[in-house]
Amino acid sequence: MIQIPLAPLLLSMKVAGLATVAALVLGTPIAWLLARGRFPGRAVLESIVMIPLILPPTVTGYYLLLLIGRQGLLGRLMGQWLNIGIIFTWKAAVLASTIAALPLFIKATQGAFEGIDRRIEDAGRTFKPVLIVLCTITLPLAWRGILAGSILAFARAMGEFGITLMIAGSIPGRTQTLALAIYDAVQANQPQEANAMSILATAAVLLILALVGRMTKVRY
Amino acid sequence: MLDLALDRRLPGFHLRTQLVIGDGITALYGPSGSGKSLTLLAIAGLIRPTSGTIRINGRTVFDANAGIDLAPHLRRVGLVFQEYALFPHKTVSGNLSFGLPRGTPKSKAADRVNETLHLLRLDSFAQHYPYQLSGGQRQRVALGRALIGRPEILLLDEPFSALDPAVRETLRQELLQMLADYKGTILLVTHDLQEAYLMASTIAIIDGGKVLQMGTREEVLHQPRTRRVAEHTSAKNILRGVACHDSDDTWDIVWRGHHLRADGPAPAAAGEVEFCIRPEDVRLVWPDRVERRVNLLRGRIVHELGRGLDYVLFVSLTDGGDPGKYDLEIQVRSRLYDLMTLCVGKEVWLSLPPDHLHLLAPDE
Repeated sequence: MIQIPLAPLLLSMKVAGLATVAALVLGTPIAWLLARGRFPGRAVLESIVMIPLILPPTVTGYYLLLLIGRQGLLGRLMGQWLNIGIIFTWKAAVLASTIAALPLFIKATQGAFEGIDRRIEDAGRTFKPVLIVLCTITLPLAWRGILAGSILAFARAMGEFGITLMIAGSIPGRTQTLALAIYDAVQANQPQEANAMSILATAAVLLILALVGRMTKVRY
Repeated sequence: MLDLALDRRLPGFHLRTQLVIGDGITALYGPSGSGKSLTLLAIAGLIRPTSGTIRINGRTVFDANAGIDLAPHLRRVGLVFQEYALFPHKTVSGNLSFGLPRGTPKSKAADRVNETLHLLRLDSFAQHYPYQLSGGQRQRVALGRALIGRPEILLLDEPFSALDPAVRETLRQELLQMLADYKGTILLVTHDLQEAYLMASTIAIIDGGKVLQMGTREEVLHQPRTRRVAEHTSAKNILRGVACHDSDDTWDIVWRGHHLRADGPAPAAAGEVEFCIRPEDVRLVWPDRVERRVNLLRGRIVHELGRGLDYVLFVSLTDGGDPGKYDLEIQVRSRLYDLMTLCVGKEVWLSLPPDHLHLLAPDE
């Protein structure tokens, strides 16, 4: 009988879930801006958003380390003014996963916004204020794209490795997510544990996909 | 009543429309890219002009100098889009009720929706989604959605372009019937002159971002002000001659050696002028009745186009034998074509009725 370590899975779920929410909240307005906005610096914003997708994760992680580490610019400010340090805590793991997931989420959501016929929104605007049109026309029409983006974001967050290792470390029971724990198990020559955790991770992701697939059946 | 003067510069295009239109249906007619849809969007508040004013029934909804720019939903404008732009995720009822102003009590809203459904003959389609409807039904929903909030002005952007030509004819009649009860200003945008004439009592011709002429539909068709208007209304025979003023409202035009009489007021000064006559206004004359006609010409048919109900004949006065070179385009009914045994190569007598010869003012 082998012990299935549940802690890394639960931590991964928590981190990936929170990262997905963060990507949703941060990414949706950015995606809307990129899809509909016409402002100077639009191309620059689009490139910046894509950086984490292109850079090696360890490099992104290293930059973040410089930024939020105890001696980093943001890290020092947060320590002094807010008395919080997120480096090498599960919060840093959430940050790492959010950064990794954001480009995927934004790309999918931007596509969803761009796919909406502008005249449908314009028609809405002749009847109701912009904010109501956004909530009752734009978002309901884009929600499948937003959901697809969220699934991508969640999957990417579950698999996050490089950035997490750089800024959250791999502290068992505290910041060791599933991906890191599997690596550790392989390193420590514990194939049963690696197998168990890999199967667990696969099952969890498949279950979520199936649930989401059920929810997104629509008529129009 | 709509009163607007607007100016908006875009890359490669300068919109500077001026319009004053009263109640009833006015058609804004022009080729694609003429600025007619842009004008509609500006009235609705969906694009912002650089300068100018827009007033609806005396209410200023836009004034660049005074810094007034009312949001679209506050302008009391109903807009029917080209492809209808229905909300695909809402039912027919949902689409209609979205057109009601905010804060309408629930029971009153339901009444208005039912009333509108009934008016549009869509009672049994309340719970259908747009994708389940035919083109004509979609158009009715779009119209109902635009009218349910009782707008002061109704804007229709090419309402028939998304439909098959076969159903267009019926739906035009249907639309006219549904609009019969609407008391307000209606502005219909179209690139189809026949449609403009059929639907509207007043026509404004727009091209290159400017209104070239506005008047009753007969005026615009038969008394084009300038050459460009004549081109847009398919006057076809736009000719160049030398005119001198004969007497009140009578002009003598020398064209290719012939003296032609033209009746009616002319905006042009004497001298070299352009004038026009529509192909259907040129008369073919039986050879034995030649003496009684004025503005009589003799020519040869160099080319013809059979169109079923009528023929378009291309007549050359000099007869160089080149079918591409002709002086007049004329339109005759097929029955007359057969009676006169017309064909390419045949010599014919033509008369240009003086009241249909129309002098054009120079283009600005």
